[in-house]
Formats: sequence, structure tokens, C-alpha cells
Amino acid sequence: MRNRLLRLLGVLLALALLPAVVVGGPAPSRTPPNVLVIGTSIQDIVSLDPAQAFEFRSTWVVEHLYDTLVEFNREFNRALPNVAASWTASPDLKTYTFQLRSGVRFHSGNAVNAQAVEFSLRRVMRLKMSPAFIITDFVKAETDIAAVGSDQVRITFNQGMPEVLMASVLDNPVSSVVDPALVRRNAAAGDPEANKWLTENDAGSGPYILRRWTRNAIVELVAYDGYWRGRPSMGRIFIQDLIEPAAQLLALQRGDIDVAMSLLPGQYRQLATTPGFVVKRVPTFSIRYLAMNVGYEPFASRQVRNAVKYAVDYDAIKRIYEDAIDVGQTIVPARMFAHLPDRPYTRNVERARALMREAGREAGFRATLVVSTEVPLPDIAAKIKEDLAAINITVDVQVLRSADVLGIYRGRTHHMTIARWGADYPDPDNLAKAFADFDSRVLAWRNQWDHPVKRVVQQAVQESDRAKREALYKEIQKVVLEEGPYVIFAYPLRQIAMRTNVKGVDPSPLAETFDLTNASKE
Amino acid sequence: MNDAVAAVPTVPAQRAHRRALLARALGNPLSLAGLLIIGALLLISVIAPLIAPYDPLVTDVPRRLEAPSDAHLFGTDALGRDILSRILYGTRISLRIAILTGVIATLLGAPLGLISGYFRGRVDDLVMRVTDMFMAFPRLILAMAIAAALRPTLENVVIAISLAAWPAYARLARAVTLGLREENFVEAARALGASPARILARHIAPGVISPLVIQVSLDMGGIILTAAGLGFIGFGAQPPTPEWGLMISEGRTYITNEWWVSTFPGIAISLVVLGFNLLGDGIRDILDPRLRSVRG
Amino acid sequence: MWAYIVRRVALASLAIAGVLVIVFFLSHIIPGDPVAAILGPQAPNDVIEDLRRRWGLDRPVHEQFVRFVVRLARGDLGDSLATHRPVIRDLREFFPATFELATAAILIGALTGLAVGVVSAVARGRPLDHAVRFLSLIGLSMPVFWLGLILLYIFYYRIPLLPGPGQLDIFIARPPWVTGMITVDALLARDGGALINALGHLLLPAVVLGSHALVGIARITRASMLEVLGQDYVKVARAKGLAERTVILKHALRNGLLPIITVIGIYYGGLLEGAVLTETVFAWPGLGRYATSAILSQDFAAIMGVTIVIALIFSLANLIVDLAYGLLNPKIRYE
Repeated sequence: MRNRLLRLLGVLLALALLPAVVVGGPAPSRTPPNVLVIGTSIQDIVSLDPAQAFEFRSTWVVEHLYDTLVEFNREFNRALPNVAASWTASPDLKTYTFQLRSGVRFHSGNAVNAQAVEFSLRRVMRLKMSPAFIITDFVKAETDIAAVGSDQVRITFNQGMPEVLMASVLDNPVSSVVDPALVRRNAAAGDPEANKWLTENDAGSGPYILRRWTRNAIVELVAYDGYWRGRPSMGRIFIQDLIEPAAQLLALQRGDIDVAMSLLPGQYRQLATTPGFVVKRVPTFSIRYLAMNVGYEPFASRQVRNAVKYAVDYDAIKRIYEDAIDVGQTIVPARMFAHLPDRPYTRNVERARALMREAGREAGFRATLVVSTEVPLPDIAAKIKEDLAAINITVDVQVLRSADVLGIYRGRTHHMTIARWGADYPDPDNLAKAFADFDSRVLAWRNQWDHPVKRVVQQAVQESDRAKREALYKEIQKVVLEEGPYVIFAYPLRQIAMRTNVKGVDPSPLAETFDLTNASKE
Repeated sequence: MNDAVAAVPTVPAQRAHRRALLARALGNPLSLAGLLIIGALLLISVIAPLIAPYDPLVTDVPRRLEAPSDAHLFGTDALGRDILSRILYGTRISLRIAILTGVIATLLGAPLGLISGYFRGRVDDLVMRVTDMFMAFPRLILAMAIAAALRPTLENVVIAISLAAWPAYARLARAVTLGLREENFVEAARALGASPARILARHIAPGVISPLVIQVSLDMGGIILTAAGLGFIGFGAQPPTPEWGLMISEGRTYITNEWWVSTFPGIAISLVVLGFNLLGDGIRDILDPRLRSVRG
Repeated sequence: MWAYIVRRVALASLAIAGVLVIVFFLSHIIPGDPVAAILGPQAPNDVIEDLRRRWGLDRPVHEQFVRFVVRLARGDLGDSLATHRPVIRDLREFFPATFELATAAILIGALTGLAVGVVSAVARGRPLDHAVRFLSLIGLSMPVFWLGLILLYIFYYRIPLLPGPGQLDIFIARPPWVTGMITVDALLARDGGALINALGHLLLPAVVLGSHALVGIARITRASMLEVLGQDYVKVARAKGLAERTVILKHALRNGLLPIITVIGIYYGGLLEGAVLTETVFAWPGLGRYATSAILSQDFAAIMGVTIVIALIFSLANLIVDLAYGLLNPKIRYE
């Protein structure tokens, strides 16, 4: 009797678990040949309106929906024609006149003309949203952007603009050309610039058309047949939200995605040795560093700061990054103009102790190190805690939300933090300003390091002689290296993993993202 | 009066009762297993320095991510630290979190529950509304918010979980008090002119303690899991602390290849929580006299 | 009964109001910088200042609180700092996914839990009882995030039986948005393919999320059944010679259901807690992830919005449980 009952209940139990076996079935293990599926986290996509997009995956999608006047070459040292077929500059490099390419059409079929360019750039200035400063730092008034006829645009900048600087403004996604007709049609009373509509829709002329964007889930792009360079070979691109790196790795290995772009260093290393996968590494113009706040009394001493520089185990940090870094200790990254390759610091505990003695600090002190949860920063923090213990500095590690870390860093209340700086434009000026010029209120200011070298920074940007300019930047780097409040670990490389049949996906060294227009599959 | 005397068991009777409970607990293989796990945990936490083959904090980056071997039974982690040693030392952290949280939550909840149950009326209403409030949102989220506000340290994790956990104990203490205050021996004490403070301390509190202790021991597993969850999303223990949740979180990068980095701490947490749960299940069975009368 | 409901609703509103006050001040006294977090480490200072002014974050905390209350009274939760949209819209978009997941989880948890509990009670003390309880306790003892990763590894990667993270295969068109729950929408659209695919995606996260509820429900079912099986009327029923199955399912289970329902209700409200971790592992676009990222980036309006929803659901679940209690057991009367 009871046994029958048990059997019955057993069947019930099996029924409850049955869906596990029946439902779903095997998922397709490969993506179709003309479709590219990319796994990453798209949580940061907030708006696809070029005038608002600022987070890196928003701007990445925008780059594929819209065209800009010019674009950078791969080396980021020259401007190439894009919607503008050619241009001329005034002798003082303040005024540029762009000749537009004819026959370029928006996804709507409307022509891309000078009026559209004028409208788009002025729209950004009117909306004044997060990325607007990229234009307004260099262009004073809306009227400084003017259409001349239907195929020429004249832009007057507020300073002389070398070609690279001009391109860093006009290649930026914020300078995308939007379709004025669509904007006007979708404008509303409280929203004359149709920002709400453009947030979720596209009005561009770029290689791809936005099919759908479901927040925290998926972005789907479809190739634009009328793209002026010709239809891209990938008919559809899916950008799938896979926030957990382990899940992203499984999806790539299982074949549900073709490209994974937010894995962790250890996962890239693993894939690099797995047949069927390729990991691409490219240099980035960014710097990973430990900052010491000079406002915290012990760090006011240059000897103490340099003791820390000698106490850190650079080789260990390189290993923690799985070797995915360029080595270097100066503020201008390797492969950039005027990079100073000096590397005076290696772990040397004797030397570090001597410096601590010199500073009268051999008894040591306590200091807090705040880092965000981003992998592998907590590991690096743990390693640094151990390294600095050897010179009697007791480090309290605090792993905090990035909101907290940035709040503390900007509030200048930190003792130490590990941070990253990426060049906004590929010129040493950007880095020198950030790291050495107290008056531009960026990193030197945050670490309360007000050093006379700031005059050299301010002088170098004005220097037009290339050789002299290079000498000035090398001088700045040397000063920061020897006296600055930064321990520069390395220049991290960007990594992207993909299946071997994916071709033409090459990360660019400057942008966080990469161009998909030339992607293809074998 | 006679009832009052009878209601307080004599010392030998208590001892006999305890022995009977113990015998019953040991008779059930599952609770026995739980007891053994917890016993082992306690033992390891005491003798960790003696049995751990390495210092849990010393890194050896050139030997990072080594697979389990004779030198490193559980392998090494991303900084080359010995995972076995970290797990052994980790027992101290998990135990400390669980015990401190239990104590603090009880110290917060029990007095409120006692007062609330004894005096009833408006005090009771107020306390119950406050507990309603705290129970109206999930522990992990409350603990996350508190841990974020207080800065994540091990001590603050304890405070955060305690603040989220005390209402349950206040309610339990109140329920027990409500029953006890009507008992004859309490009535008798009241009739003899004892002050409420004395009655609460001498007559009611002792009766409240044992159900609370049992409840806390039942919750230990959950507390450890919540702490691990906080560690996992980065609101918990700070590196290089060998806290198990943090270790899983650090190791998930390597889950498909260097599986040992997150698997061993995962097993450690599961085992300890399992121990508490098995023991808790056993205690529950034994304590509920109605269940005892049922023949299996 | 109506008086009881009104009183309960009033008390619940009081509790929710208290929760809101606490969370508001708690989230505002944290010294982080939400605007800096959202704009990233390289945004210029004046851009940050400008945005902070625009969002009113430069005002004193009490002033911000008054503004929050005034807005709330008008049913406006404000705009999220991170998504630049009204919080209410975010909630409407993300809530259905979590509701769907939690409902599936509680269904799996309750059905399996009931079965396990009954088996365990009937086989009390025998190896089957021990085995079932032991297995379910193991489930209860594993950290949710770890269990999720392991199941994903096994059933998605090692034995490719189930679809992976996300709600739907990307090549399958999402059925038109009606309820926001993909399975229900697929059903309404009579889209069999989408329905099956969505169910497949739902299964693993629902099992993971439901695992703790499963064990809790199994536990209480077992205890409740044991208690009822010892009652006189069950003995009488047995003595009357009724089939064991009838005795257990008709007499015992029905009467033992009361505490079980309470536990189901409690777990349902508490599932949001597990959702925080489960949704991250399974890339589920729901409220749990929204809550985590809101707390991580200190997105005040979003934190408050999520708090309101969670507190509401929790209170509602409790109320429903209490009412169901009364319906099932006429002996309980409402004060």
C-alpha cells in the first residue's frame, strides 16, 4: 500500500522535474554565416542619441548608425575623409571648410547635405548634454558652424587646430550627422530636439540601421543597403547582453556568440591557447597607476613617494594582468608621440627602506588604499598591501563601488587609489595636462601635487616646432617620473576574443570600441 | 504555587533531559553528520595555524593558478596563495561572522521582544510596527544598503546582517514572553511584589534564551550564505581576507579552466552551511514534542 | 473582514513609509558621487557640476527629501540618474521579467517541495526520507550564485541541453509586448516556438532561484504532514480502512496545507533577494539587476523606486497569505 503511494509520489516528483528534459532542446550551436553575434554587457547603454551618448557602448553603437565628417586613420595621427570628401584650412588653422561627398543618403532616403551637418552640430550645442563639451570646448557659438550652399560647411574654432585635434572633435560620435527631417517630425512640445525619440531610434546614414534595442538584453543592427561605401558584409549584428563574464565565456565556447568583448584577463589567456579561438590584443593609449595623495602628510615627502615606487613588485602586477600590458613607467604611453621609455623603478626593498629612513619615516605609517571592484584591481591591491608592508607601510585595502571610489578621488580625501586614465585624444598634451598640470584640475589637482612643471605643460601645447615640443614633453615625463605622486604600473592592452572564422574585427588602439563594418565570416 | 515549583525543572532533571536530547540527536544519522561537521569546523578554526601548510596571506605570484598537487592540495589562487590554507583560516572568519551576528542580533532583538511581550499595549504596537518595517524588505538588499553606507569591512558586514536579522528574534522573544507571562510562577512573583525588571530578568529571560539560541543556531547557515553573497558582490570582506564568498568571487574568472580556485571555497561554504542545516533539522525534530509521538 | 483588511493595509503603508524614510537617508548619507560614477573618471568637473545642479543633487538632503515626497504624492518617482528615464518606466520594463522568473521559481519550488515533503513524511525515518532530506539540504546549502554558475556550466556547456543566459534566443522575435512576461506574451500571440524557447531559457534560473524555497517548503510540508498524520481523525480514517493514498492526500495534506501556504507566501516575497544574484548570472533583464546597479551607482531615484516595489510586494504577499489562511481555516477569525 505504502509502496504504491511512494511510487505515485515518485512519479509526481519526476513530472515536476520533467521540463528540464523536454523543454528547450539543443540550442543552435553556431550562428548563421551572415550574422555576427557579440557578447558583452550593454547595461551602460543609456541613449543612442549622438548628442547624449557618452558611455562607451552607447558611442560604439552610435558609430555604426551614423557618419561623421572625417575619421582617423588606424594610427590616429591623420584625418581621413568620410562624409567630407576633402577640406581646406585657414593658415592659422582656426577655420576649416569641408566639401561634402555627393550622393550620401540617410537611412530615410533623404540626402546628407550641408544643412544637415550644420543642424546636427548646432543641435548638440543647444542640447548641452554630457558629451557636448567635446564640441563646445573648441567652438564658441552656434553660428561658428555654417553651411555654405548645400555641399560645403565652414567651421570656425576658438583656437588653432592641428589636423589631429580637429579630427578628435569631428570624428567623435557626438559630431554625427543626423537627419533633420526625422528630428523635426518627431519633436514634441517639451522636447524640441526630439531627444527622447532619438534615444531609441536612428536617424543616421551609417553602415547599419537600428532594428531594435531592448535595455539590458539586446541591440540588433541590420546592414544598410544604401551605405555610400557599399553594403557591409554582415547582414545582421546582434550585441547580446551577457554581464557575467563566466556566462559570456561559456556562450562563446558553446558557439552562441562569435565575439566576446568583456571577459576577464584570465579568461582571455585561457582562450588564447584554445584551438578554434583567437584573442586580439591591441595597445591602448591608457595608463594604469597608483595615486598617492600629497595632501596626506606622509606622502608630502618625495622620498616616501619614491620609496613606494621602489617597493612595488612590477613583475607580479604584469603577471596578474596575464601579461596583457605594455610595460612603461611614464605618463605618455608607449607608441605615442614623445614617449619617454625610461624605466628606473624595479622592486628594490633596500633602496625603498633607505628612502624611508631619509624621510625619517622608517617606523612606517598607515594608509588606506581604495579601489573599485573591477577585476583585477582587488588582487593588485592585495599584492601592494603585501609589498608595502616590507617598508612598514600598513595598508588598509577598501574595495568599494566605483561611485564611492570616484567620489573619494574627486573629493581628494583618499590616501591612495588605483585608477586608469585613457587619452581623450592621441596627443601627449592630454596626458601631461591630466598628470602634471595642477591648474587644469584633473589628476595633479586631485592628488594635490602643485609642481612648477605645470608651466612647461602650458608652454608645450603652444609649441609648434615638433622637435622642441618632443623635448618639452620628455622633460615633463622625467619630472613626473622622479617626483610625481604616481606609481605607473603599465599600459594595459585591449583584448577581444572571437571564433577563428571571424575576420575583419580589429580593435582600434584609441577607442574603447572597434569598427564592425569590415567584419566577415568564413 | 506548587505548579510554579514544578515548572522549574531540577538540575539533575535538566541534565537527564539534555542527555536524552543528545542521545536522540546522535541517534539520527543526519543530525549526527551535522554535529560532526560543526565539530570539525570548530576544531579547524582553533588549530588552523597548526595544520595549514602555508601562510594564507603570503603571495607567490610566479606560482599562481597551479593545479592541485602534493605541494598545494587544493591548488593556488590568482596571487599564488595556497587555497587549502586560505580555506582553513577562512573557517575562523565564517564562524566569527556567524557567531557575532547571532549574538548582536539577539542582543538587539531579545530585550525589545521581552519588553514588548511583557508590557503589551502601545510599546508592543510600536515594536511590532518597527519589526514589520524591517521585515518588509529582503535581507540581502537591506544589508547591501547598510554595508554600502558603513563602508565594507568584516565588522560592518556583521552589523549589516544583524540589523537585518534582529526583528525575527524580537518576534520570537515576544511570542515566548507572551506565553510565559501568564504562567503561574510569573504570576506568583508578581504577587510577591517583584518589580517588572526583576521578573523579566529572573523569571522570563531564562525561558526565552533557549528557544532563541536554537533559532540562532538554525539561522547560522543562512547568515553565512548572506555574508558570502555580500562578499560575492563586493560589499563584504576586503582582500586579502580569506573569506569564502570573496574567494568564490575572485575565482569565478577561472571557473572553466582553473576550476579549483572557486570550487573548493564553494564546497567549504556548502559543507558548513549543510552542517548547520542538518543539525538544525535534527534539533527541530527533537524539540517539537508532537512530532515525536508520531511513529515513523 | 473588510475592517481587518483596511487595518492591515494601513499598517503596511506605515511600514512602507518607514522603509522609504530609512532608505532615503541611508542612501543619501553615503559619501559616494553618483554623477561622477555615471559619467566616468574622465568627465570634466564642470560637466559633473552642471549635471548635479540639473538633478538637484547640490541641494541639502532634507530639501531633496521634501521634493521626493511632494513628487511621490503626485505619483512621480523621478528620473533615474543612470538611464535618464522616469523610474516608473524602468520599473514597468524590468518588473515583468522578475515577476515571471519569481513565479516560475515559486511554482517549481512549491510543486517539488510539496512532493519531497510528502514523500519524506510518509517515509519518515527510513533511508528514503534521509536521502531526500539530505539532497534537498545540500541544495539549500549552496550559495545561489555558485549553484547558478555550476548548473549553467553543466546544462548549457557540458551537456548542451538547455539554452543559455537571456530570456529568448536572439534569432527569435519577441512576441508583442502585452504583459511584459515573454511566456505569457508568447501564449497570447499563439507563438508556440517563442513559448517553448522562452520556457527553456526560464528553466535554469527558475530552478536556481526556486531551490531555497523548495527546501523550505519541503521542510515545512514534512513537519506539517507529520503533525497531521498523528492526529486522531487521520487515525480514524486509517482505522476505517481507507486507502493510504486517500488518507494522505485527502485528509492529511489538505489539513496540513495551512502552514505550508504561509511559507510559500513568505518565500515568494523573499525571492527578490535571490533575484539579485540569479539575474546577474543568467543575464536576466529584471528588477534584481536594476536594483544592484542602482545601489552600485548610487542612483537615488532608482533605489527608492525599487524599494517601493519590493516593500509593496512583500506586504501584499503577507496580506494574501493571511487572508488565504482565513479562507482555508474558518476557525481563524479576523479581529
